Amino acid sequence: MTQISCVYSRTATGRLALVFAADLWSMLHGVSSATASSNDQPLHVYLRSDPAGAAAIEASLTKAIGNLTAVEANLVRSDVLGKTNLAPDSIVLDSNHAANGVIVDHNLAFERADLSVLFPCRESTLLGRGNGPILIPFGDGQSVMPAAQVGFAMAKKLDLPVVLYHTTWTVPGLIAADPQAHMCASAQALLKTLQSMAEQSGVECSVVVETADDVVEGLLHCALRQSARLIVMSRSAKTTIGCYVSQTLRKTPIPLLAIASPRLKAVSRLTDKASLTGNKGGAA
Amino acid sequence: MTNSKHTSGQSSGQSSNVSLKQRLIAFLTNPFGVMSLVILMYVVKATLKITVGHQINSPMIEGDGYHNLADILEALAVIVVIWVAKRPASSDYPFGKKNVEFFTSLAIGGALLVMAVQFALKSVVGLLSLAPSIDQAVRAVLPLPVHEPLLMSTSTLPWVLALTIGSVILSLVVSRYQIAMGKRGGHASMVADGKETASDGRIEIITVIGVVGEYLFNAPWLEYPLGLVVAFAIAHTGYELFQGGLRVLLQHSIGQEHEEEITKRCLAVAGVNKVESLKTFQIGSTAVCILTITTEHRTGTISHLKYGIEYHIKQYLLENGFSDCELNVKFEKPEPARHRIAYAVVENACSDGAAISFAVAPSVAAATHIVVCDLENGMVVRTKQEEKPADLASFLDKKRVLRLYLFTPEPPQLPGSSVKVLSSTSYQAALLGLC
Repeated sequence: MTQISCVYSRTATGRLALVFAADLWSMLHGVSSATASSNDQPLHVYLRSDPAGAAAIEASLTKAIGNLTAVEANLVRSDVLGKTNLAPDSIVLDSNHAANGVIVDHNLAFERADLSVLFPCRESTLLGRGNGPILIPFGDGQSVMPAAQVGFAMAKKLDLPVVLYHTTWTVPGLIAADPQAHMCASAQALLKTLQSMAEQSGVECSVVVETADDVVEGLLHCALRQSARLIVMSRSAKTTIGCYVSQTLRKTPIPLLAIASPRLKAVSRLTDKASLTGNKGGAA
Repeated sequence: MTNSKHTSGQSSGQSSNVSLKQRLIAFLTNPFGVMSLVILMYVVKATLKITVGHQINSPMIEGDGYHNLADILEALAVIVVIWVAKRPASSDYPFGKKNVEFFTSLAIGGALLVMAVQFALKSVVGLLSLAPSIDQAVRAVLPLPVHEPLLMSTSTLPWVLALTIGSVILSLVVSRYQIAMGKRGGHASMVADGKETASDGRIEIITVIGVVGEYLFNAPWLEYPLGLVVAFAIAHTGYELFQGGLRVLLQHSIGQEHEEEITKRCLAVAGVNKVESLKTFQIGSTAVCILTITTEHRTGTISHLKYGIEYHIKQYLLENGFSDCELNVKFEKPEPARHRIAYAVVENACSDGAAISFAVAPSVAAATHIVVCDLENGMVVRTKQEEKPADLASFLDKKRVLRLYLFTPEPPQLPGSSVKVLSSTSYQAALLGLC
């Protein structure tokens, strides 16, 4: 199953993201009770470092208090365990974001298009308000595929249905009440592919096609009508202005999982490699 | 050519059949159409009962015929009421005049209660007539009406039976139709009139039982205990109608079970913290809900939240007997729970005096500054960095700080201060929301 992680921060939203991540991790790993543990895939908590801050503390001390990072890690670990009720071996503190997996965070969703980030909104649990479907909006391009793969896998694991959502422009001159008749050929082909994916995954799947005035409003209204508990959307590497994921993130009251596009991930990896090489070169 | 003419003739015939069928359906489902049929039924019943009753010299049947004449007037009143209720809303009547229908419920409910008492009294008088000594004793205390026994000859029996049984069937069928159409169209007055028609039918059943009991089983007393049961059923219907009408006219809530379900459905919508208040009442068959929802979301999200809440409430109300709903959803932020905390920090300043970074100090002694944080809903909304004062305890008291944080596992408490000193899990200002 996908690696679940979150970014440690001792703020209200940080606490919310941590509790959400722990709840999601417990559900995906089939552990629900207190002191739950799972050895195969622990919950990753990213704890960033601040060398300048550490230097300021060390400079102010007359007597050394030991390794600051270790002290901080211990305090953070007990804080995380206290807030999540997870067993000590269920969490791992990391110093960097992993490129893979899902990161539950409020800020990264807006800042990093190369990471798959779950924006929990103001919710502290995924299914705290009762079970509901996972909504996967799709257009006419293949960019939905990563979202569909993650969405179907999560739906299967959590035993939730999936709603495939598409909104289309009406074809001029075509008088058909059924919005599906107005879908372009590529979107119709994609719908068939997604439906067969759902069938193969063994996930209950329904389709909503409409001619909404506004894509984001249409998909959010559909999610609210269906009492969806999660919206899973892929970021497109091709979109430069008017990204639907970013627009939806700004308006959604429902948790949204923004899946990084493979192309953006690859670009980010290349950039990281180049900067590492540059650093090494500089050091030499 | 001939074929085509034949086909077109056939199709025009079919279309006229279809339009006739559609017009008939439209008439039978239209409230005025329904009430016209009800009036027709009462005209037939009244004419037959008055004529036959007069001919066979039966005051009971003749009296019932006159009662049906009164029912015609009632049905005409219902038509007028429905016409008024269907008038569109205006600036003077923003919700329309739908509540006028509940005056009919009130009136019919009251009339049924009176009818139930009269019928019960007749049945009691009938029962007392079976025991003359008790009858005399009771009459000495209470002014009871005179008992009128059923007087019928064998020759008139078939007429009476046919008329009463036919009348029962008509009453029951028409009342069901009237109630169903009334519920469908949201016309409380039509439903009330339908219930009144059903009550008439029940009384007629008792008459049939009385006639059959006397002539076939020689047990005329049979109708009286049954009459009491029917009187109770009519009283119950009357009370329900009266109470329902009164509730709507006095704007009683639509019911605790509905309000609980509405609250539950609101809380199931992502983003809703709490249903702060919920007021409901009914105008005609329209439910009105005034809600105040607590949410932390901002305006851009609230419009979507409103859509979701309204969708689910409307769906529930329409599924539960209301023909429409008016929703007024207001949103408010949760109570901010404002308080202050402080961090003892170490500032690492540049030579020109501008701060380059700061971190949470491990002890008060190591701190150079105090960052006072204003919190709302657990979020830092404002910070102010002050140089560490000489008397930290009185400074924190003056600033009304509740807790002071230090970056150490077990911080010592401040002597002479009520401020709690707690452990900050991180020394990094960014992780604590301080920058």
